[in-house]
Formats: sequence, C-alpha cells, structure tokens
Amino acid sequence: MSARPGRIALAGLAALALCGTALAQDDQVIVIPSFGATDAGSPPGQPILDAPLDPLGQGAGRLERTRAAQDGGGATDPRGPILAPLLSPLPILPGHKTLRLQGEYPSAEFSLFLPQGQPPGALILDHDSGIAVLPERSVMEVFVNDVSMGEFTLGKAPGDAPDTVGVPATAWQAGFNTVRLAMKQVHRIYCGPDAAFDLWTDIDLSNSGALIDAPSQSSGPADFLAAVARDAADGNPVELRDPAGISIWARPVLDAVALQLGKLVGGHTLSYTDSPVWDVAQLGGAAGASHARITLIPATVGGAATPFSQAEFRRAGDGAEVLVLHVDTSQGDLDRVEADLTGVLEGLMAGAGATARRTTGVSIGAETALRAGEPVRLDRIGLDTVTTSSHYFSRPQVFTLPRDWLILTAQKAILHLDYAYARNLPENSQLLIKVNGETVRLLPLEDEGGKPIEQFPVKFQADLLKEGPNLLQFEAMIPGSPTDYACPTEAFPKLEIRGSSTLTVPSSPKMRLPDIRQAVARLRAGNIQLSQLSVGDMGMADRLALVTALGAPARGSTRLEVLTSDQLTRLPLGDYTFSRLALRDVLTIPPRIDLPATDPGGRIGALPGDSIFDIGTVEERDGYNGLFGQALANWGASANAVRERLFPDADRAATEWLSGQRGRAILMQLDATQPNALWLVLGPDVAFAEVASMIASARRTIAGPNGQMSVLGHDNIWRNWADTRRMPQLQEQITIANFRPILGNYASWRPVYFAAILFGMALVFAAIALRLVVLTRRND
Amino acid sequence: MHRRQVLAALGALPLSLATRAPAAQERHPLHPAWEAWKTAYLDPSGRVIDALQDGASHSEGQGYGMVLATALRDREAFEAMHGWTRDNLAIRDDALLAWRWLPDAETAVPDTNNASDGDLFYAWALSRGGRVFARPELSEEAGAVAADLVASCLVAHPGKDGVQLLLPGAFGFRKDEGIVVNPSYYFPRAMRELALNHGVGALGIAAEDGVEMLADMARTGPIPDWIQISADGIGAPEGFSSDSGYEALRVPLWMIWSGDADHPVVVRAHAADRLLPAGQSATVVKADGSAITETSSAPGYAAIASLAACAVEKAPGSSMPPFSTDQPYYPATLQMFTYLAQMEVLPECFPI
Repeated sequence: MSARPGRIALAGLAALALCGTALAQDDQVIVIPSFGATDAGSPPGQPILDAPLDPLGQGAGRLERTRAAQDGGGATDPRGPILAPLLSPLPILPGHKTLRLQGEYPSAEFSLFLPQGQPPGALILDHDSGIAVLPERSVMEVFVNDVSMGEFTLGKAPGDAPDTVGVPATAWQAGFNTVRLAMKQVHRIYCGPDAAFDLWTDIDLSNSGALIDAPSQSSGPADFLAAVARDAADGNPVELRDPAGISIWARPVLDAVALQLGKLVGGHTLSYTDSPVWDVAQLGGAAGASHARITLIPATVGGAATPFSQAEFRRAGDGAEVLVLHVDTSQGDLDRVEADLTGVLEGLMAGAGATARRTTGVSIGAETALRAGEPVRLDRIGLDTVTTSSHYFSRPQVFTLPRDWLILTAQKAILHLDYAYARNLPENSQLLIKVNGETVRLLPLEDEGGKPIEQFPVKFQADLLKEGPNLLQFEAMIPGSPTDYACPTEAFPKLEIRGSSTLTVPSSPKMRLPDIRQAVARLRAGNIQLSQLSVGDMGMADRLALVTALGAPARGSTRLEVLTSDQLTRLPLGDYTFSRLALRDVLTIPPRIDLPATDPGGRIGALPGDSIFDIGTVEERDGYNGLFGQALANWGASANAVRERLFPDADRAATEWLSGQRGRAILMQLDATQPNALWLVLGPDVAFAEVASMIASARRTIAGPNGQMSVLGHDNIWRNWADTRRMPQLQEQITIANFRPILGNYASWRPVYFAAILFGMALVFAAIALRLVVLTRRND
Repeated sequence: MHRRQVLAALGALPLSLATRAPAAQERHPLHPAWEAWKTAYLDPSGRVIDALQDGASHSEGQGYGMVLATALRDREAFEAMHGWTRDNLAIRDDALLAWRWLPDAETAVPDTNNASDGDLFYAWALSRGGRVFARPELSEEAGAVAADLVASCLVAHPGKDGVQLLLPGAFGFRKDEGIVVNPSYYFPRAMRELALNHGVGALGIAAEDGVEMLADMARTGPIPDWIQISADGIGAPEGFSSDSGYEALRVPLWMIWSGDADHPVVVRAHAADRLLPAGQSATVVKADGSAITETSSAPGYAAIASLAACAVEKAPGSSMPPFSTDQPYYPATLQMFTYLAQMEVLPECFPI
C-alpha cells in the first residue's frame, strides 16, 4: 500500500470538522506504511514529530460515539525541557544544592554531561549574592570548554531570574563538558581581608545548567550519564530494577559502574534505590522522580538461541534513561557474565567523552602521595604556581604520607618556599603557613617586595603530621589601602607562591599508633555486618550506595560491624570497663544546640574543636579553704596529674569525654586485639548508608575519625577520643640503622616511662657497680 | 538459570517481591496502583465513575473494576462493586445488566439494554470472585449471566454456517443490512473460561470464531471500532465509527491477555504506534489504515502500545509508563489490565 497524502489530508480535515476538536491538521497526519512493510526499519517520509497533539479525549465516543473529545486530565509528557545540571567537584552535602563562591576572585569549575543529539542553546545560571557585593563592579566570566561566553553582572537577590548565557552549538560536545565561572567581587564599602569574607555568591546547582529542549529520539550512554548527573544534582537516587533477582550475577559489573558513576559526579553524593517495577507516577509532575535507572533482564528471556550478557541504553516509559543489562545466568558462570559486560564501562566512558578533571587542592589521589625523606616539589603534589590579587587568599593542598609513617620526636619537617609579593603592600600584610590547621609560620609581606624569594626555609614540628592525608595551607591577608573605601578598580597581583617550592618530611621507621584512622582508610563495601545481616544479604541498591561511598570490596579490608544503640551488649570493649550506657546516652540524648550543617569545603583543614558540645564537669574544690587548703588542693591536683601521666585511667577519661558528646553515630575500635575491625553504633532512626557516606567523605580530609572512638555529631562533624595508653607498634625489624628513631618514638610517646625505665636501669647498674666495689674492696 | 526457570521466576514475581519485602508481605505488586485507582475512580458505594461520561457508571466499568478486585484479592472492594451493580444495574428480567447508570438523570437507567462486554467482564469477575474469595454463590451467578449472554447476544453469522457472533447488546444491533459487531467486545480469555467453568460452550466457540475473524481483518487493515457483518462480508455500519479508535485500541490487549501475543491485531497495532515519538500512542487510525489521525500521551494507551511493541519485537523489557491517575478512568483501567496481562502472559515485558 502506498501513501496517499491528498486523500489523507482530506480525511484529516473531515475528521477535524466532524469531531469539533483540533485533533489533526492536514500536514500532521501520520501516514502508516503498508502492512507488509511493518517490519521495515524506518518510518515513511512523513515527519514523525508532526504528530497531532494529544487531545486527551480518551473516552470520547466510546459510549456516546458522537460526543466530542474532552480533556479529563493531563498525562505527564516526558519530553519536556531538560536541564543538564552543573556538577560540583567540591563536596556537596546530601540535601544541599548550592555552592558558595567566596572572596574577591573566586572561581569554580563544573562538569556538565550532555545527552546526545541537538546541543543546548543556552546555559542557565541561577545565582544570588550577599548584600556586600557591589553589582556595578562585580562580574562573573563564564567559560564553556575553556571558551569565554562573556561576562555577567553579579549581585542578584534570591528570587531574581537566573542568567541565560547564549552558547554557540559548536562550543558544546556530547558527554563531558566543563563550565568555569571566574568571578570578581567587589565590596560596596570596604577593602581588605575582612571585607573579602563578606563577599559571596551562591550558585543554585539544581537550577543551573544547559537547557535542552527535548531528549533525542534514541537513547545512548551520554543520555544515561546526563540523567545520572541530573539525579546527582537533584539529590535523587539512581534506581535499580531487578524483578528477576539476578543482580548477584552482575555484581562485579554493577560495582564497577557505581564506582565510575560516583567519580563522574564529582562532589555530589550518588545514592541508589530499589525501584518498584509497577510504579505509580506522582500527580502533578515528576518532581523527585529519578532520571536514571539500571534494569537487569535475564538474557535468556528473549528466546535467544545462544544467550550472552550484554548492555544497552534505552528510555523507559516514564522518560528515565535506562542502562539495561541483559545477564546470562544460564551458564552459571559469574566470570563469563563479567567478561561479557566489560564493555559497559567502556560504553559509559565513551558517553562521558573525557575524564573529569582533577579537583585542585583538596582531592586525594596517587599524585598527592609524598615520599618522606627527600624534598618534593609542591607542583608534583598538585600545587602549581598560583598568583593572587586578592586581599584574602587561601590555598589548601592535601598531601599523603605512608600509612606506616610515624614520628613522635622533635624532628623537623621543612618547607622551602619560593614566593614573591608586590612592593609596598600595606602594613600588616602577612602570609600564614598552616599545617593540619596549625599555623607554623607567619611571614610578613613587607619590605622585600617586588623580587622573588627562593627556598625560604620554614621548619615545623614533624609530629604535626600524621600518616595518610595531611593539609598544607597558605593563607594571606593583605589590608586594603585604604580599608574604608571600596577596593580600587585596577587590581594588581599581590602574591605568588611557586610550585617549585619543596616540602621535606623526615623519613620514619615503619611504626603506627593504634588508631581507627587506618582501619577507616581500609574500609570497603564488602566486609560489613549490619546487625545480623551481611552486605551480601543487603539489597543491591544499598550495596551500590556503599560501593559508591566506600569503594568496591577488596581482600584484607576492614571488617565493620554495625549495631544499633539497643545492641550495645554485643560491642566488645577490650580491656575497657566503662559503662555502655555512656555510649547509649551519646546517641539518645538530644543535643543542646541545633547547629546548622557545616559546609565540608570550609571544614577541610580545620580540625574541629570540641568546645561546643564539651560539657564535661569541672571538679569542685569547695572543700579546700584558706591558704593551706588551696595549697593542699593544688598539691592534690598536681599529684592527680602526675598519677594520670604515670597511670592514666582510660575508663574515666573515656566516660568523661563521652558525657560531653552528643551525636548520631559512634565509630570505635576498643578491642586492641582486633586492629582490622571497627564497630559502628547508630543512633535511633539513623540510616547506615548516610553514615557510611559521612565516613567516606571524612576520611578524605584531615578531620575524619581517629583515635579509639569517634562520634559523628548532629552537625556532621566527627569528634575523636584517643587513649593515651596505646603504645606505638613497630611494623619492621629493628636494625642498627633504625634503632635510634624507633627508640626516639617510644621515648617521645611516654617520656615519663622512658625516664623511669632509664632511672630504674641506672639504679640497677649503680647497685651492681656498688656491689662490685664492695666486693673488690672486701678485706678477705 | 535457564529460560524456563527465568520465565517462571518473572511470572512468580508477585510472590517473590512480597517475600523480599516483609513489610509488604502478601501484597500484590500492583497494590499501590490499585489503591490509586480506587481513590480516583471508585466511589465508596462501589460505583465506578467515568468522569468523562458526565460521571456515569456502566456495566463495563463495574465489570472491569470487579475483575481488578479479584486480581488484587480485594474482597471489600469487590463486594462493594458487586453490591452496587446488583442494586442499580441488575434490573432486567434476565441476569444481564443494564448498560448505563446516570447520576443526575431523573431516571438513572433510562435504557435497560445491555452491553455484552460489560456482561462478559461482570460474569468473568463473578466467576473469578467465586474462586478467589471462596464464595460458590458468585460462581452460580456468573453461570447465570453467561447463560443469558449466550441466549441474548450470540447470533449466527449471516454468511458462515456454524459461526457465532457476539452482539454488542441484546437489542438494536440486528439490522436488515447486517449485524453490527464491536470487535473490542470480544475478550477470548473471559469467554473461554466462562465456557469451560460454567458449561456455556457456545461462548467458547464464539471466542474462537472471533479470534479468527479478527485475524482475518487485521491482515488487511486496522480493526475498526464497529463493523457490519452480512452475507456479503464485512462492511462499515451506518451511524457507527469505522475508524480504529478508542474502542478498538483494546483489541490487542485482549489478545495478549488471552495468551495470543502473536495475533495479527497486535502486529497491526504496533505498526501504527512505532511511527510515533516516545510518549505518544495512536488512538485513532483511519479506517483504511492509511494514517493516524489522533494520538494520546495518556499512560494507559502508552502501556498497551509498549506491551504490543515488546510482544512483536521480542525484545525483553518494555517502556510501559508508571501507572497514573492523571488520566481518565478508561485509559487508567486499561493500564491496570495491561499490567496484569504483562505479568500473566509476557513476564519478560516488565517495564524497564
């Protein structure tokens, strides 16, 4: 049967007249090919997109056959505009959707994943600024894939319409794109470091991104990744649909996919949820609905003669982009399934188009590893030469030391700094150098300005450093000149820190302090017991959330046992005897102060203090009056202090510390005989997945769990307690070469013990010597 | 795990899902959708409301709702609908139902003619209900309705000896020019089961005749909403739509649910829907099959189209949308039926 457009047009118009509704225009009728050609791969020439719009007269004429169509409701059209969101490389707490850019010249680079098909025409940027930002002189330059798209004024108020940035189609590419925002923020009134703190602009990540009119007709890896990005930005989970219960066959591939997706979404937390197969759509739109889904189908159900595992990308009826894994379970061969599906990751990466860039300063990776015992250039651990024109400048840089690195002695690490600063900077201009949050040097930026200063030595105590991640931070404060006017129009470079600077950390014998920090670092998704349930028994969605947070299961990973606050009797206390009720109280007594959640970006480098929740008791001394009484009290306190140092009471210390804590979860390792095991006690109504995510993000900072107990506060900050009795453990053989540093570490760990031992030995040797003298002088 | 095992596993999905979710134990996977359906379309009195038809209720809707209640094991809803139907539509001298009840009319049932599809579903629901709820009296009632359906609505084909046709109603469809038939009133599965369980063999024969007739029609064009059958063959009845529209779009669903997913009407329906962009399905196709003149984005119609696509293309996994009450009663109810058909007949076509 051939197409008969003329007749069709007339028929369409006739139908239109008959029904009285705008059902079909003559140029909108879709011609159906002949029945014999129904298997043809392509539709006829009539453009499909010209299909008549939905009249929604679904029941029209069914019972009253001449009745015109009426719209009884609106079905959700999954083809609406799509916003491909900006993904932040910096950590975004779950539930948060904004990123704050603070200071005079802040910048941020975002990932943006585009689906295939027609490139978006515009970039939407929803932002608002603090009241101090002077709109007339504050601008944001927008770069798409390193090409400038122009400048836009800052200073919007909440509720103002977002900026629409026209982007040429050629600037975009399918899959991975970068969007960089470089801001210049000027204070309305003041100029200087304090004024710089008041300058901020929030980017609403859930409402910023590339606007795409409609998805492409077909689905592909780029579409799937774009959907995952939307879920990450919106805080929606990726759905997992496994009606046949075969996910265990695809577990290695799912783990790998989850890890890859987790990396691609940068600082956003990606979670997973089991998806009901026969779902109910929410009325009034798809807000909160997931955009990406992974669906598992047994490869054998298609009736293929030789089934094999494979992957494809499809679009579901609700508009979700779906990674469909056809899993061949017929051979009973897990390895074969894994081998067949290896291409999934390649497909995903092809969809990504490029690897996401490294996050400057705070990301931890192989490149941040610092070899002890030799000078290491800062640009080799990620700190390239940086120049600033700001009055306040902060540049953190993470570096990591080996897990068996330990120095407790007074040895020095040394930073040889190459830097330069402008001439005639205002008085009190200074550069602070901080190590793990502690200022180790203040350099005045005066006098010698205008010329490079090379290899300036900055020594600091090596015992400030720990195994694993450490933080080196440069913080400059340059007063305005004058301070009580807006900064001058022309800014000039004020400070330069060069990547040629070197950091030398002394080498150490292979030793470690018993500490949950190492066990936390070795924590992976596999070796976890949830009450009576193991990870193997968990739903696959929960497992993937864990894999995303903690990494894929690995041999030798830490065993984590998760308990609830009513299961504390199962918690091994080792040689501690303090009451478990102290632990329960931490989790069940509400906090005194409701604190807003802290931005983890601001937390990096700042070791949290305990002051806010520290409600430990102070000993009363009312019983001691008068001069003699005070002296007696002081003597008693001194005696207690000495006793504490000589014979510390860890139970008392732990109980006192716990009494000052309030939190949602406690991570601990109290049984010293099980160094590769951790116990996590959850407070009421606290989800393990959420805490796992907190552990994962915290262990990438210097502020993560350490010591023997760590409480996750209601402000999502970990607070730690360490038992001072825990002795350093040697991880290698004693040799002549390492004897002295090993001895030094032990001596530094407990100098009193060391002195007592030496004193005792001296007494013994003195006694022996005395006896020898007596014997040799005896008058036989 | 072999194909048979996998299909068995997918087919037994309602049970396995309930096992994996202790909180929702023994709940049918369609329970959330069913609750939404009841909230949107079922009055507490047991009246199924078709808002698009001025809030009318009809035997078809009551039968549809009762079949769903048996599938979902919802005795309370079933009995409410049964009671309302018996009180308001079972007013004829025989066991059949008056076809429509109008809420605001002076006379709620101005026309006591029946609709055979409504009676068919009503009888099928009673038959299933008798078994599911262990109420033999329902089974007896089902038998009575089925017997009267045979007596009043099965007629001989004017041109083919031994072939039985299903009239849309007891009165008004036998004309001088021929017999007017609505192809979408044929639901072979219900007809076969009633024939088997209630000794009304003629209904089973009519079902097979219907399946064959529909296959012949589908090979030459789309299934019209209404046809006229005479000794000369099949033609377009005067005063009835002969386009393939909202009536006929049920036919592929009935065929799939009856276990005949390869039936030509399924292929024919897919031929139209595959031309449309995602989210749209054909609701009216020209009588000669040359063009789609109306489409819809209602999830119910999309579900039928997606199931047909899965059946024809033999590609596991379908793009059936989630159930929504943001659509009229008719597509919403068909969407529920489509889910049931998928679970029972094409488990591999679950929504991806």
